[in-house]
Amino acid sequence: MPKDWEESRFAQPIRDIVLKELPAKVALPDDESDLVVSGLLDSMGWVGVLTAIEDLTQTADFGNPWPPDRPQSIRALVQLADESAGAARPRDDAETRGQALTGDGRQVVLAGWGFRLGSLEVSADEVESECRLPPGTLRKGAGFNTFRHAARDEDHVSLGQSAAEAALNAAQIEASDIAALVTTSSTFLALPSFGAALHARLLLAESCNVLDVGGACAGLINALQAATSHLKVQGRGFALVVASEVHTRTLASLGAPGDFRGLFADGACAFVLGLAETPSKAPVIGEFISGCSGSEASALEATLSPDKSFEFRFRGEALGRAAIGGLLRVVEKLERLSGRSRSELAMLAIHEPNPRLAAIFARNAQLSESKLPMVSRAYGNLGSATCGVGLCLALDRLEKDAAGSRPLIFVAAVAPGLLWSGTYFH
Amino acid sequence: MTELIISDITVMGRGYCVIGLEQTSPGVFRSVRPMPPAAYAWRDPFPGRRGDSVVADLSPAPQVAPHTEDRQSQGLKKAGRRLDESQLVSALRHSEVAARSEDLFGCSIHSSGSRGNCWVTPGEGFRSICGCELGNIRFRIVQYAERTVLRAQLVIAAGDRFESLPVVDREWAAALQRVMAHYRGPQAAFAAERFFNAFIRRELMRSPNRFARIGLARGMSDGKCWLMLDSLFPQPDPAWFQMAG
Repeated sequence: MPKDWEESRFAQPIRDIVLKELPAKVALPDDESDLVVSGLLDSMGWVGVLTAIEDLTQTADFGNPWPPDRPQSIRALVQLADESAGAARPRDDAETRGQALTGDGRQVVLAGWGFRLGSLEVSADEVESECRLPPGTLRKGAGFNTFRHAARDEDHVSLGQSAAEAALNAAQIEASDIAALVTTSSTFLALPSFGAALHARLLLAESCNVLDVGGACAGLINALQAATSHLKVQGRGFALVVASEVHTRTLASLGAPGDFRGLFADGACAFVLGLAETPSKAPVIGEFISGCSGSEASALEATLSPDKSFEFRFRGEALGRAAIGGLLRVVEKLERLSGRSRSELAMLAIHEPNPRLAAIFARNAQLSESKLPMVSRAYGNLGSATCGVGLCLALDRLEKDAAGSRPLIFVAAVAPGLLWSGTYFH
Repeated sequence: MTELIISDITVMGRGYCVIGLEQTSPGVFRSVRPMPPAAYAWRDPFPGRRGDSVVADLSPAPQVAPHTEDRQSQGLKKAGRRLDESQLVSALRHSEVAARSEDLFGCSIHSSGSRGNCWVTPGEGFRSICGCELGNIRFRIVQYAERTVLRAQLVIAAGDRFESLPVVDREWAAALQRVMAHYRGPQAAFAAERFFNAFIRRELMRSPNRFARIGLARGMSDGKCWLMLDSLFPQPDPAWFQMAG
């Protein structure tokens, strides 16, 4: 604390804070006056002062409990602010925990993960009927068994919230520990953005950075990349990545054709990323690759036309062909990047446009189908959440099977454009 | 005589402020605040519970916005009927409700910082109590020399957040005292807060009766009608608090 306390950098800001909480037209008292005993502030005003100083000093639980030997005065507030800012933070929060874990050779790891699906299970036959598709189009043609659709009381935010809470619970951290929220959704068409809406719903800290990331079906990997970069730059804290899609409602309201919207389903996934020293028991995130090839870019177009209707152009066969080719190239690049062969893979989580294309991809990649979580067969195409739900299933399975070891997992996705991206966990 | 279903019992000084629902037409309710003769608060102990049906002879009380629900009464008499929690929350959902903060009281809500409580200017607004669907909630325990209070950070349906609402709900205030009695030492508030935010919050969020009633204090001393969490549903279940030990 400065010898002359009035030199404290907190003195004037705290006077301003107190003045804001005082009733209108009441002058600021002298620095020694007890603000509560004098009746200038009631308990709510006092708490308002304390929380504002928490923001100012970036400390938690400022003045709680208030030291019994001090008056509730401006001078005491300034002194306590100096002491709090100079002392270690009392709470085991994101900052201290992150600092404890960082150092030379720190790595970004997955601290927790979780997913939630729409709670309605709908058979492929029912979807064919609802989308007016010839019988067998989805079940026999594309290989879907069932789809998961959002119930009436579920939406992007509630699914994302539920997935995020599962991931936070698995990571054993509080929502207030999250320093960055990175979200992706291609079916959330509203303002405030999905990231802002989810930030509010999760009651994250005001200082938590929010990024909405695009990329459609490749959006989750883009979001993981952004979160990883954030942690590497900041060197502390935790990042939360959430992908959430409610295709059924969005595509129906936009009038998407049945052969397109019938493929899609609703769900969300979430991942908590943190920093850890080597060696870490948690899955370590490797490097990222991404790009845009332009091949078959017009195979899927969705455009808002001047008359405010949506226009869809969808060439399923061409898009499927491009998707398989793109995924194969991503796997080849990941092999080079990681220095590990696909034969070493424990699991591979990909964007599965449909189960049949996923099986063709596995065959062309000379991988056993059992290495793929095959999310789409039971749940449908979940858009950006597909490879994330696959990653969650792979991690859960491997956590049970391989106690103590950290098996290799590739994650690969493609999206209209043709956007492609991939990463790996080891 | 008017029949009311008691919906809110909130701590007010040494007594309680009570609000009841009056049915105005089939399936439609409005909030009414019966006041005892010559006081705002009912004396402790107040024997009624949320959901109890009571009858009262109500007469107009001096109307000072936003407390337009005030009615003078000579007392409340139990009518014998009682709504369970689901029925009461259903009735509350057919009473005053808002999805957005701007619709809560019909006037601007002010805040001096991003983390403190909010207030309404006395004389503004057309009501002082409103229900809302709860998107999420987190608790904070604040200790003063002479008492410990529960505050809530919550988000309502449209995404508007309230950072520090004092929980004045009689049952939740009593629940806090029960939990605090289980914990000792300098970390007691921290441990209790963890219990509320882990176990209790999970029980709250999984309940179909998840609902909040936000009310306004009377801006007598400082010219601010502070927002308060008047009622939080579901109400605390005694079984939850066996876990605290």
